[in-house]
Amino acid sequence: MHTIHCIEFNDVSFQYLQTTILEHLSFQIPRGAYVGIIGPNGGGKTTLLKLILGLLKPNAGTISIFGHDIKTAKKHFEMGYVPQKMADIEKKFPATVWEIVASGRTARRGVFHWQTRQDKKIIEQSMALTNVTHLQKRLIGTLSGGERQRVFIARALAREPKILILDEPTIGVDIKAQKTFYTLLNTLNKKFGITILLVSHDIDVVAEQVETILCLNKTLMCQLPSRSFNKKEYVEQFYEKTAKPVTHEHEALEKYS
Amino acid sequence: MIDFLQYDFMIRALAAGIAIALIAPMIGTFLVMRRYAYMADTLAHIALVGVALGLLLNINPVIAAVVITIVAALGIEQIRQNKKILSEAVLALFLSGSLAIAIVLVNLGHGVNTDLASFLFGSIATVAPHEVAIIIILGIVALTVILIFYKEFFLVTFDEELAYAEGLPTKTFNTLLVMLAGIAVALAMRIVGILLIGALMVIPVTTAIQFGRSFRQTFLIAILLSLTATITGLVLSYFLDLAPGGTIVIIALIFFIFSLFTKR
Repeated sequence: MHTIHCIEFNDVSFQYLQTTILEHLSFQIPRGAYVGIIGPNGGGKTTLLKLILGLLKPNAGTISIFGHDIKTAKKHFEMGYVPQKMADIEKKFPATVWEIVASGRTARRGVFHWQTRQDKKIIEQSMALTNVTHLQKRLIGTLSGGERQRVFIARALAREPKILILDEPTIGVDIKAQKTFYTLLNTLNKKFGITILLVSHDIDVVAEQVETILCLNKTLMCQLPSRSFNKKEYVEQFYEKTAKPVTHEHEALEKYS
Repeated sequence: MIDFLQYDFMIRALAAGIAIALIAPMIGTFLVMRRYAYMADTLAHIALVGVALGLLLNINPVIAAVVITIVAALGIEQIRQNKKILSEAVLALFLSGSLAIAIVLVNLGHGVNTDLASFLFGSIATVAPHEVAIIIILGIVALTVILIFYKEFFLVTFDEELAYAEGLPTKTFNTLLVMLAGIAVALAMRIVGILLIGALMVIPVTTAIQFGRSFRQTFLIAILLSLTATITGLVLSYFLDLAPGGTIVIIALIFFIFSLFTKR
């Protein structure tokens, strides 16, 4: 019997202008997986996320979400997305945490639908789960990196997603807040069964947190359980043999020390 | 004191002014937050082409300006979405291009200069009753559309890519927003004048951002400031015999300067 995967790439290639970003990419991600996507700069990590989200269209191959072609999948299965640039949101944007989280319901509710009690309940639950309820009246630009990141997770959760997609979610977030953040992702994955896809440069943290590692460099280099991941081999394969893996911890420490 | 209300032209100016003061900052809030503040000025220069064409061909200049501005707004959005030219450059191209066309049209129609001046600087005394009707009807349409799609405009303003990823037809809402901006600009030129329309869409919003404790509050404060500046400006311009457009914008600027000394 053919198993229906959460995400399935079948010989997908993507080119931008004359440059090949991804080629012959095939893999499956089962329901409820917690996947970390790593790879060198320009390896196609963000492009992969954008293909899953339907922001880009592949030049060749097919992408299925829960067995449905990506073109129609979005209508059936909701994805929550936390883009990388959320960390640098315009500080003067005069929106409260509540307004940001509530905007997660907008596309889900559809045009001509006002906010219902059910919507409010889901927004409140999302904020409670991410521990941002006490911040709901604060302006988004006044929050710390860690608080802001939790708000964007709450926003994504307000969509009641089956898949949560995060692109470099801990940039600009201090170490303590990072720990809280990963505990939250773990809860969402284990307790609520949400499939999580996480792109990060921070291979130490990714290897420690996720269950499966997907290594990307224009095509799929490896897909393996995180416990089998060998950081030394990875670094030697993609960087200079003498290079040491760089985490974002030092940046976070410098920023908040 | 309120004897000015016995004059029909003042009632017409106030009715049209209130309609414009309501919709200009509503659209302006979304434009400013998208760093698209120059859109209003560009559309104003495009409206000038409509006015010149209307005067030249003997068509109602307000209607000609509404049509030309909407068409150009759609063109701007189309080019912007193709992403081959920077957004700022698209606006600059349309701004200078439309000004050039307007100058040529004005030159072709010798004698339209006097009428044109009333559109450039605003002239409440020359607002005809049917123009007030056009302004109010289109104003109500614009107001209704903004209120119905407020949550969609908010999301597209907050993050266009995110909105698209979540299934919102962002292209439709972008197009709708620039069309509304085009309508607002074409309607406002009679009161504040083409040269000052941008100010009415941007200054109250910039002031409101200093006070607003939420997006909704910023939106409402901008409307309140715009209404206050417009009504006060029209009344003052009547009593002191000042240019209404300039007076309205100066009052809006005074509010802004005051806001700089006030902490949120």
